[in-house]
Amino acid sequence: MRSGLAKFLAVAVVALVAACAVPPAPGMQGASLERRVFPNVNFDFDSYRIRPSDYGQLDQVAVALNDPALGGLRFEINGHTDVVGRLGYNISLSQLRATEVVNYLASRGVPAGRMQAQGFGPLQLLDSSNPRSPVNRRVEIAATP
Amino acid sequence: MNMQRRRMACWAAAAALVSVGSPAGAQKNSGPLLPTAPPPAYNPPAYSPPRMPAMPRVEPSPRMPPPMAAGANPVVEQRAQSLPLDPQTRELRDQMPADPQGVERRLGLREARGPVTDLRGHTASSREIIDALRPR
Repeated sequence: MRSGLAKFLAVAVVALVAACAVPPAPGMQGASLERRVFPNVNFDFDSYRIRPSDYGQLDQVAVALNDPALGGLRFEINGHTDVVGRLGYNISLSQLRATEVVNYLASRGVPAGRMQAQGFGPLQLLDSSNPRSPVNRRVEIAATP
Repeated sequence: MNMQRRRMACWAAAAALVSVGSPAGAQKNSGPLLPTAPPPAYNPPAYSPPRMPAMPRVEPSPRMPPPMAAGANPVVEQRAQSLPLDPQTRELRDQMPADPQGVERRLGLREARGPVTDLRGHTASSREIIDALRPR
């Protein structure tokens, strides 16, 4: 009698857990394989030109993206801005920042077809407590399967 | 007579003493202390700005571009105008939109979600970048 009750409780708990399990969101599929880096690349205010001091960092990025260890992956180059100015302008500015980096990496031998530039403007602030901070003017790199 | 000579000598000595003790005593031939007239007050000339040649007044014309300011790069501006955003959102200034993810969806942006390796603060080597991006 007691073991029957224990079995019933165990089955009920398993059924409850299974019912409560949330299926992964469509955008999350493959996210476990996705990785991102914040490279040491920043931009001057209202500029999408790569700083000469950042060329060395981007050269290292190019070597990495061409490495066989990352073969088969695609790369998203995501540009960002701070919050100063108009939203539409900043989204365009961040798109141009990402495009500049893609062009630079392509000039260093990374196949352009493996890279995609995106511009988020200020929509994903790195330092949301200080939305005007220069650290927000950056690019990020995501590797996706 | 003798007494008068003595008195005059005494006055002369007193006058010499006073002239040595006074601030102007170091100067030669300075006379005894007498009330002097105050120095003339300094009256600076009234300021008058430099006169610039008159420039002809230019009336704004609809063809003239807006004045350049931060955030006025024409290449960036042209792209901004073509974004698929409503004007109110596009012109939002110095602030985040109420629904950032909605804006991302409208622009067709894909938000990266994987774990992040922060390589800021130094020039990361290619090996560091590979290790950070390699799927595990």
